Parts: sequence; C-alpha cells; structure tokens
Amino acid sequence: MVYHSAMHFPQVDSKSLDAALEKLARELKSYLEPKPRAALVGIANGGITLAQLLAARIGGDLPVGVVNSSFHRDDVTLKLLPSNFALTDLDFEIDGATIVLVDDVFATGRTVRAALNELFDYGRPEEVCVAALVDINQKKLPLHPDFVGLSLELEPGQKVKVRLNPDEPAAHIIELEHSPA
Amino acid sequence: MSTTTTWRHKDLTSIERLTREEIETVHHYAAQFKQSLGRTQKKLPTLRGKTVINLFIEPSTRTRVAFEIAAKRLSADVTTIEEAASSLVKGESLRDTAEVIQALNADLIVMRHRSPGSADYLGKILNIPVINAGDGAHEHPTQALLDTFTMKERLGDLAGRKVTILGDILFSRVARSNIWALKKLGAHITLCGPATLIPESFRSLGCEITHNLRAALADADVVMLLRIQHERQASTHFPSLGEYKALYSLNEERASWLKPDAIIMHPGPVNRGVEIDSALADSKQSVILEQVTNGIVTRMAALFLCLTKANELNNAQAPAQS
Repeated sequence: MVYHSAMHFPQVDSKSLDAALEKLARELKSYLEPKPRAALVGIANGGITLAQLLAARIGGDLPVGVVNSSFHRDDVTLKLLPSNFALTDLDFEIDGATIVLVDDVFATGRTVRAALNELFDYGRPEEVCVAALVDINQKKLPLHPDFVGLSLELEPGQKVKVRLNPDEPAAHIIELEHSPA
Repeated sequence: MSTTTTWRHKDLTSIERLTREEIETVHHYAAQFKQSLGRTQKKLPTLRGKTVINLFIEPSTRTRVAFEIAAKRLSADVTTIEEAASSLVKGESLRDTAEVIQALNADLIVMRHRSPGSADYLGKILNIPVINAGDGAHEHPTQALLDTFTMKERLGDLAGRKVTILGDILFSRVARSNIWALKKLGAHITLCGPATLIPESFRSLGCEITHNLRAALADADVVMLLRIQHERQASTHFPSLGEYKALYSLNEERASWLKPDAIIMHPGPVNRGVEIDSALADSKQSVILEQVTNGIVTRMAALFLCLTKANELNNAQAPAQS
C-alpha cells in the first residue's frame, strides 16, 4: 500500500522536505568548510539525487560520487537487484578525504554498514560521516546519521519513500509504505 | 524501460532454456561486477562461505581459470578437479564422482565434459546447482553470455544487429549457445564456412547460411570466428588446413570487406594463421582479449545467480523449470 504524503504526513509537505534539505546543506557547509578535501557520496539509488542537490546548495565545486553497496549487503542473495541500479562511481581520491555518505532515508543502518565496506574497497578516507534527509528511527546497528534533515516516528513495519525533484522543489514527495512482513 | 530482473533456474546448463530477460539479468550483474575489477580491493564478500568445485573432464585454460578467478573474487572457496587427477581414471562413474563432491559439502559444481547432456544429467541428480562449462558439441552457455555481453558493450542493443559466425559450426558448442542467445536478443545470424561444417538444419533455428565469405562479411556488425578443432575433425570435413585457410581464413584483404566499425571475436584458443591472421587478432577491431576479461565478470554473475536464494524462491514458484 502506498499513500500520498498529504494523507499521513500532513506535517511533511514538499515545502518541509525542501526546508529539511536546506537545513542539511547549511549544516554540511559549515562542517566541511575547514576540511582540506571533502566529497559527497550518494548511496545508490536513493542518495544519488540528494547528494547532487546538496552539492549544488553547498557550492564550491564539492565532488559528488556514488556508492553501490549491494554486494556487501547482508541480504544481497535474498532478492535480485533492479537493472537500473547505479554503479559505484568515485572519480576522486578517497585516501585522506572527508567523505559524507548521503542517503535519502536512514532506517536500520544496514545500508550504511554495507556502503562503508564498499567505500573502503576504494581507499582509506580520513573521516566518514553520514547525512540523511529523513531519519525514521528504526536503528538496528550501532550506527547513526551525523546530519539529519528531519526525524519521523513510524509504526513497526512502516517505511517511507522519498522522491526528490531536482528541477522543482515543490514536487518533492514523501510516501508511506507498509513493508511486507 | 523495464528494470525487472529475473532468474528462475537451479542450474545453468543451456542458453536454450533461458529467457531474454534472464540473459539480460546475467548481463546486468556482469556489468555490476565489472565495475569491481578496477578498484584497489577487487574481492567482494558476496559468496563468502560457499564452496565451488570445478570438475573439468576435458582440457581448458581460459574457462577453468575464469571460473576460478570469478569464484575467488566473490570470496567463495574453489577447488578444481581434472580428469587425470580424479578417481574417474580408476573407473568411478560420473554420477558417483558428482555425488561424492556433493557429499563433500560443495555448494555448486562447474562441469566441462565431452558428452552432450552431461551437465543436465548432473543437474537432475544433484541437489546443488550445476553450471555447464561446455558439454561436447551441445552448449557452452557462459561463453555465449560473455560474447553477447561483449557485443552489447561495443554495440548497445543487439536487436537488428548482424552477426556472422564463421568456421566450424558443426562441432561447435560455442556456435550453438551463441545462436540461441543472439536469436533471443533479436540479432540476425549468418553462418559461413565449408559446407561440410555447416549443417543445413541450422536454418530451422532462424540462421541464414552462405558459403560466400565476401557477402557474409560485408554487412556484418560482428564477425565471430570459431576455432578449427583439429582434435574432432580428423581430416574428414575439409581436405586440409591450407585449403580452409585459402577459402575462409580472415586475412587483411578479407577484413577490408568488413565495415570499419565491425568487431572481430574469437572464443579462443586462436590458431593464428588458420582462422585469422596474427596481426588482425591483435588489431583495434579485435575484441578477443575483452572477451577473456568479460569471461570473469559473466561467470561471477552466473555463480551469483545460481547461488542466490532468490533463485530458490523463484524455483519454488516454478518447479517445472530447471
């Protein structure tokens, strides 16, 4: 079942999503300012558009990359990957850099755990932090997002899906989903 | 464009049984795995704890090594058994050898065997998945998967593309598997070579047959050369290697009949100077070494798909399929 945001999240409309994005960009900008070398890395596929939008708002030619954490996931053999899943693309030096892993939704922490492994296959970053547009507080691992746009409390079994529109902030959507048991 | 991926088989024993979507799923995973070849740490933990046994009852270099590297890159443990070093030489049957391997806790068997149908036979009697690495002149499915993956990397969608397969079709499992794969992907296939090596019955698979080399090369997007198999042909199918070379070898002059952007493929091992001139095998049009590299990632995809639990779930819905 998929509901439109307006039905279940009256407090999270497109405007609030955009405000959350702006908040993330502002916090990241001030955090990254003193760092000698930093990059945003979107976790495929949900974090890719978010990383690009954040980089544009932060400004200053921040490099943007992609990690596909699929083959480090603990559930990779349980279901097949959709064929539009983006490949890892890190076209900059990882060694010594400050890397911000970016995802649209932070839920259990499993995705970030796998993304860290994928990232470290490419080098040794000086520092890694995690930025999520939405934290749904379903943490199952000792990992947490360092930067959060907005935080939601969900019922067990509920998930959210975020659809960001790069050209039209008013078209950002957040949907509530009941995940199959 | 559909983003659905699908795999509904316990074993990978033939291309004939795969759907277009399944072939494309293998290509999709191969592309994902190919991305991992260029990085500092090439090993993925995906098949950690799995054991793959390569049972090679016929000689092989590139297929055997590519399967070994593929399994190791995915963190599986792999052991290779060759006929000379196995109990088969003491008279143990293939069935017994395979059941022993299964009892040794292997999770998957990759087998090459001279008998057509041998991989299917093992797949039916064993609970663990079997991947066919060549069964006589029947099929060599992972070769066709890597060949079509290589073609797609160079040419994009293969629908409507023209592929000429040149040489010994009669004895070639590579040709049979490629014909199945290319037809499913919508390519046009022309077979060319000595009449004794091209069975007319292949027309029923939807292939064109010609003995006019110039016509076969002129509009091809791909020319796939096949090895002349000295060990199978004896001297019964054409008078001499010299005669074959004079009529069908790809040399500089004949290569000039090709379109400038056509690619030249060969599954190896290449008999330089017989199927192809040495300089052409090393030319820019040749993708022979890309085929070898793609052989690793395609086999990573095949191992992954046969060992994924998604396959068990799908099989539960479709018990009729292998």
